[in-house]
Parts: sequence; C-alpha cells; structure tokens
Amino acid sequence: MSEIVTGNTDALAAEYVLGTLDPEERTQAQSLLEADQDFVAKVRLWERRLGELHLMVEPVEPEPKIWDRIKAKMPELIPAPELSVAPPEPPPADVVPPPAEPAPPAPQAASAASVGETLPPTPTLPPIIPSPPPTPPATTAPAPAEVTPPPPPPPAKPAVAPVLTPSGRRSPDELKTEPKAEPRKDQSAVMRGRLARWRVFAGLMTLVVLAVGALLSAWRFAPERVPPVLRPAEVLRVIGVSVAGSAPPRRPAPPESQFDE
Amino acid sequence: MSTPVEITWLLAAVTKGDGGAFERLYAATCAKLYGVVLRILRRPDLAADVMEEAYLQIWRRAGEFDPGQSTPLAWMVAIARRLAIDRSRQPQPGDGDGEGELIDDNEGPGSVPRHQLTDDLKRLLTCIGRLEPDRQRMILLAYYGAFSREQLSVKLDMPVNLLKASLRRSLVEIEQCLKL
Repeated sequence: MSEIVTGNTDALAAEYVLGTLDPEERTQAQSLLEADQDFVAKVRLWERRLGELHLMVEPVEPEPKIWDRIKAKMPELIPAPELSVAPPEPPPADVVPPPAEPAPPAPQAASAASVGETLPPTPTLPPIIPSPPPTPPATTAPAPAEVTPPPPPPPAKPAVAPVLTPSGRRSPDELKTEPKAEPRKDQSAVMRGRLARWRVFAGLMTLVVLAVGALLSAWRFAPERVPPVLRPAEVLRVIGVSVAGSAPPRRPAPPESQFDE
Repeated sequence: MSTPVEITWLLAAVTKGDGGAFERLYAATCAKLYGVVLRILRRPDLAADVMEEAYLQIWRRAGEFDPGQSTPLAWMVAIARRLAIDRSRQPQPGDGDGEGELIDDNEGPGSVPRHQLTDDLKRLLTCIGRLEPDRQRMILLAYYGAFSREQLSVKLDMPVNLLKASLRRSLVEIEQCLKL
C-alpha cells in the first residue's frame, strides 16, 4: 500500500515481475494492473527486461496427461459448427510453406524427479561468452505475424471429433483410439436416407423435363402426329388458358407462313 | 526447440482459431513452460494446474502478443510465470497430506546452450554480473524460484528490510544498466 501512496509504482512493477511480492502486495499490483495503464506499461517493460532469463531454465517434459486436460477444455474454444460443416480441406498453402513441423521436444534426460540434480545448488552466472551467431530475438519476428499462417490440417482429428461429440468433453482414450463406430453409423444412416429421398425427387423432375421436352419438339416438328389430346390448343384448354377461339386455324398457320415468305 | 519465428507463426495461426497450430505450439513450448512453472511451484500437481490455465490463456490471448515487444516464448513464459507465482502465494491445499510430491529446491539457473544465448540475455547477464555476488544470487533466486522477500530473507540469512532495500537498489541498477 505504501508503494501506491508514495507513487513508487516502479519498484512495485519490478518486484511484481520478479516475483518477490507477498500475497497482499501482489493483489494490490493486480488491481493496479486493471486500473492504471501506466502501471501496465511498467510491468510490460520489466517483463521485457527480465524475459530472456527463461532461457537459462532447463526444459522439463511435462506428463502427457497435461495436454489431455487442456485438450478436454478445447471444444468450447474451437468454433465447432464451422468445423463440422467444412470438409477437411486440402492444404491450401501455395504461397506460404507450412511451418516446419516442430520436432517433439527432445526427451529430457532430466525428468521431473531429477530436476534438482541437473542444477547447481547455488545460482551462479554462467560465463558470458560471445557466441557466433546468436539467434535474433524480437527483431525477426514482425514479418511472420502478418503472414497468413496456412492451416496445414492435422489429419481430420479436429474436424471429426467435434462432430461426434459436439458438446461433450473428449476423453483421452476416445481421441487416441479411432472414434468408435456407433455414432458415425447413426450419422451416416441419416445421411443415406436423406440422399435417397433427394435422388428420387431428382429422378422424377428429370422425367417431367424429358416429357415436356418431347411434347414441345413433337409440336414443333411433327404436329400432325401428336394425338389430339396433346395438341397445343387442347392442352391450353385443359390447363385453362383461353385462346380466344382461334386455336384451329392458328395451329397449321405458323409453319406454312414461314415457308410462304 | 522451435525458433522464435516458428513460434510467432504458430501463435498467429492460433489467433485464427487453428487448433492444429495450438497443438504444435504446445508441443514446441510445453517443456520450457513446465520447467519454469515447476521450478517455482516445485510440485507437479500444482504445476499441472498452472500449465492448463496458462495454455488456455495463451489460446484466448494469442492476439495480444506483440512481436515488437518480446519474443513469443518470453511472452508465453510471462503468462505462465504470473500464474505460477499467484498460485505459489495461495495457501496450498495439498500441503502436508502427502498428495503432491515435493521436488527438491532447485534454485539456480541451468546453463544456456551457446546458440540460445541471445543478445538481450547477454546484455541482461552483463548487467546482473555487475552487481555484487550476493545480490546477483538474490536476483536470480528471486526470479527462478519466485520467492517472496520473507522466504528470500530466510534463504539468504538477511533481515527483510535490508533485503528489500538491497533488492530494489539492484533492480534500479539493472534498469539503468540496460537503459531499456
């Protein structure tokens, strides 16, 4: 509290990032983070100053179940409807190559149990030796941020799973073994039913079109062979269009008049 | 370990809701984040909770990453560290009931493979290296273990008030040295 009163938020920000505040001070810092953009900027700056220290932390391979837990929380985060509609698209990336598949983090010789042994008991500064080409940090980064990352679709898993269990949590086992058949069968049976109905409908419509087409060409090319019931005047009369009584003379007229002139 | 460029790329894909990219991002970064978190919490069960929360935040906040401000891994580590420190300041439910195996204190930094020693890190280490040895140790202990001042004062056998003053003087000196 005294920090805030005296306006000494620089030290508060620094210690917040360093991690040395006690719970009460930390709570104060957090409420300040929500209210004071100035303080936010100070914290960001200290995160930037100290950020690279993480490079000296030995990586430790976490247990696989941690990823399973995260994944179990994912369906609510992934826009599921879009995924269920979209077919698994082919890799669209022709402009940008997909990012190199990150190698699975090297199996750490130091497992969680032996972390302590891999580290010196007292912290000392490692010798600072100029290294040939240090990997450039932030400076190289801006460009790729704007590059549209191609979604090289990880084969079908995200696309299929949300369809099968749209709201449910996916258990790790379910994901590892190929999703079981029952739900899929249900789905495809429904789909097949719908398809069949549409096929019948399409077939009927084709027949109608063919019949109308045949009748029209008969009228046009062989009017005299058309049975009387199907002749234009008769059809029009049946349908209910009044032809003002001029039907009989009009029917033979058009072809003849064409040839007359 | 993936390069910053690759991780930035994956983060950009995650911003667009690409679950596959998120999985690759996790694969590329989880060992580092877990190392950081475990060192602070020293209990795999608590560290697992924090990892879960950290990656869910990373998923939601990927769009906030600013490549001009930090490296993508430093940004992710900052999120995980913040959560781990918060967690370490809470009363810990599993304490004493033997549920979580406590990992031995590991206070110091490891060594950095030479190719990972970035310019920023070299500058920072140079600045920390200008402090007196005791204060170097204090800063590194504080960062890697995220110990509160009270805990540090016990570990370094130093009165809290003195430690606080020393800590703050060191931070000011690092700030001035970095000119950042």
